[in-house]
Amino acid sequence: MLSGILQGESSTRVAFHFMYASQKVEMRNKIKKIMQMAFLVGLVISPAVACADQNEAEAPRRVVSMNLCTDQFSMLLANKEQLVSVSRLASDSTLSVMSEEAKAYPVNFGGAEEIYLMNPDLVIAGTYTNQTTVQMLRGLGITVVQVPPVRTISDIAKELRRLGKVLGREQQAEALAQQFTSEIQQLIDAQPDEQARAGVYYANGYTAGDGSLVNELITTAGLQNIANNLGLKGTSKLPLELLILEDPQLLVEGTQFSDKPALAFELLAHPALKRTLGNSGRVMVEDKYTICGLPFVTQAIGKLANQATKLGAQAE
Amino acid sequence: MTKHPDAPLIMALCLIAAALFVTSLMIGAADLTFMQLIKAAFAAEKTPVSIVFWEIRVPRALLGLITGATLGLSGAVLQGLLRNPLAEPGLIGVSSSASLGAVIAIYTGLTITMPFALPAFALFGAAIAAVLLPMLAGGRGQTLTLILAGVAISSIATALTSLALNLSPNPFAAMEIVFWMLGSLNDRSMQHLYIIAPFILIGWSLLLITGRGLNALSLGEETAHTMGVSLPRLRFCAIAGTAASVGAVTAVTGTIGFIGLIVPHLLRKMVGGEPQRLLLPSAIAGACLLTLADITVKLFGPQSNLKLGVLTAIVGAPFFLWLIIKQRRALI
Repeated sequence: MLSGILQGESSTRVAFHFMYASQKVEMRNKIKKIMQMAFLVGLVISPAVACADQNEAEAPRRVVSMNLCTDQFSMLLANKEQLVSVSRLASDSTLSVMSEEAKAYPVNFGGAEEIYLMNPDLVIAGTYTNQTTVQMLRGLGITVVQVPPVRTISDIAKELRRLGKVLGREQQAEALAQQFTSEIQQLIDAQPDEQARAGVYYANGYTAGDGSLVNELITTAGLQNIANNLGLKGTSKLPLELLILEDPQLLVEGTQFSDKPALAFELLAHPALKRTLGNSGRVMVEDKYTICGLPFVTQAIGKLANQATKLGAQAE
Repeated sequence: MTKHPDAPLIMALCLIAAALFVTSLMIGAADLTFMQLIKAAFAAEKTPVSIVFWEIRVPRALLGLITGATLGLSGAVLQGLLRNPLAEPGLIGVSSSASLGAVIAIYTGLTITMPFALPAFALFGAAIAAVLLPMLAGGRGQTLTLILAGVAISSIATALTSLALNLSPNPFAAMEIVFWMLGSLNDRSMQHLYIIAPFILIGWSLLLITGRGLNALSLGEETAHTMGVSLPRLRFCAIAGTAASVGAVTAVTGTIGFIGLIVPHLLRKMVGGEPQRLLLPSAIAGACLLTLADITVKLFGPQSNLKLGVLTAIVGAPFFLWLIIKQRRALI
C-alpha cells in the first residue's frame, strides 16, 4: 500500500513507520541524463561521471543493492554469487516479502564508505536514495543504477526485464515476467460478475485512489474502490464521514503495528467505523506487499479476490 | 611585539581540535585500524582503503571543523553585535532561509537531476535573507529592530518550509526534506567543500574584522560612535559575514543548532569578556565541539541513523541549562 502513497498528497502516514525507507524507495528515472553540475555564482564545478546501465558486454559480478525494493528485485533476479549485499530493511519481515532470503546476504546501511569497501561493480539504488551518497559513489567511479518506484502492475514486468538486463540475467527476468503476467491474467479472468464495494482505510485516515498501486490491486481483484466513486486520486485523506456514507462491504487495511503504537491508528478503532462495519468485512493486506511493486502483489490480489468472490456470491 | 594574552588558550584549543580531527579520521563505518589507515593513506598506489580515507573521511572531518568554526565564530560576533547572550546564527534568519532554499531544491526534484542544485539553492536562500534583513531593520539598524527582523525572516522561512512539507506531492520527498533538515555530515565530498570554500573565506574575513568595533560597541552605541566606529559598517560585516559563512555551511550540512549559541558562553570568562578576544577561540572551540559531536554520531554506527543536528540539540540544550544555573549561582 505504501507505493500507493507515492502519489499521495501528504506524508503523514508514511512518516511514522517509514523513517528509514524514505531515502530509499523512489521516483523518476533519469539515470542516463544525470550529470553533476554546480551552478553557483559563476562557479562551475567540473561536470563528471555520468552513468550508464547500458548492456555491458559482461554482467556485473559484484552487485550491492541499497533500497528495499531493489533488494527484492535483485534477490529475485541475480544469482547468489552476483549479489554481494542488500539493505538492512530487506530482512525486516514487516516491510519485506523476502525477509528470510535476505538473511543470507550481508547487510549494508546505505553509507558510501561501507559500500565502497564491498568493492561493487554495480550499485542499485532507488531514485530517492540519499543523493549525497549516490553522488559520492559515482564520484568514486562506481556505476549506480537508480530505480524509480513501481506504481503500476504493468511496470512490475517492465522493471523485471530492465533490471534483468542490467544484471545480465535476461532469461530469469523473462521467465519471472511471463509467469507474473499470466498470474495477473488468471486473476482478471476469475473476477466475479458482481463487483463489491471496497474501501481502503489506512492509518490517519488515508485511502488509496486512482493512480496508486493499491487501487490497481483492488480493481484487479474484482472489487470496486469507493475512492474512485469519490473522485479521490492517489493517496489522499478520506474523511471518516464519507467512508461511512459510502458504506463499503469490505474494508481494506494495512499492517497495524501493535508493538509500535501511534496516534495514527486510533481512527481505525473509531466507534462509528466499528458500527458500520457490523455488516461488512475487513481484510488486511500487509504493507510488505504494497510498499514495493514486486511480482508478489499477486498474493495481495489473491487475498482480495477471495473476499471479492465471497461478497459476489452473497450478492447473488 | 607583546605576547597575545590568549596565546595559551588558543594553543590548547588548537591541540584539542587537531586531536579530535585525527580521531574523527580514524572512525567510520568500516572497521579499519589506525595502522591500516596510515599505511594506505600515504602509500603510493591507490587502494580502496586510501580512497575511503581521502575521499570520504577527510572531507567529512574537514567539513566538521569548518562548520563548527563558522558556527562558533558567527555566534560570538552576533552576541557581540546584538549585545544579547541569546543571539546565534539562527536568530537572524540565515539558517532557516538557507534551509528553505534547500527544501525547494528537494521539493521540485531538482536534486535528483542536478545534485548540486541543493547547495546552490540554499546559498541563494541565505543571500536573500542577508539582503532582506537590513531592509526590514531600517537604515539606522537599531539592535532591537535587527533582532525582530531576523525573527520575522526566520518565521517566514520556517512557515514556507512547513508549507512545502505540507503540500509535498511525494511523501518520500517529504521525508528526504525532514532528514535533510536534521543536519548531517554524512558522505559529503570534496566537491561540497570546494563549492562553499569561497563563501566561507569571505564570511570569515568579514566576521574577523568586526573585533575592534565589537569591543567599542560593548561600551554602548554612543561611545562606539565617538570612538570612530562606523556602526552601519560593523553591522554590514557581521551580517554579510554570517550570511556568507553560515549560509554556506547550512547549504551543505543542513541546520545544526546550539554550537553557535553555546561556544561563546563557554569561553567568555576565559577571555575576560572582551568580544574581540572571544572571536578566534570561539571559532576553534566550535570546530572542536562539532567534531566531537560528529565523532559521537559515527560511534553510534551507521545502523543508528542518528543525525548530527539532533545530537547537538539533545546534548546542547541541557548543557545550556546547566550553564544558566551555574551563572545564576555565580550572581548570588
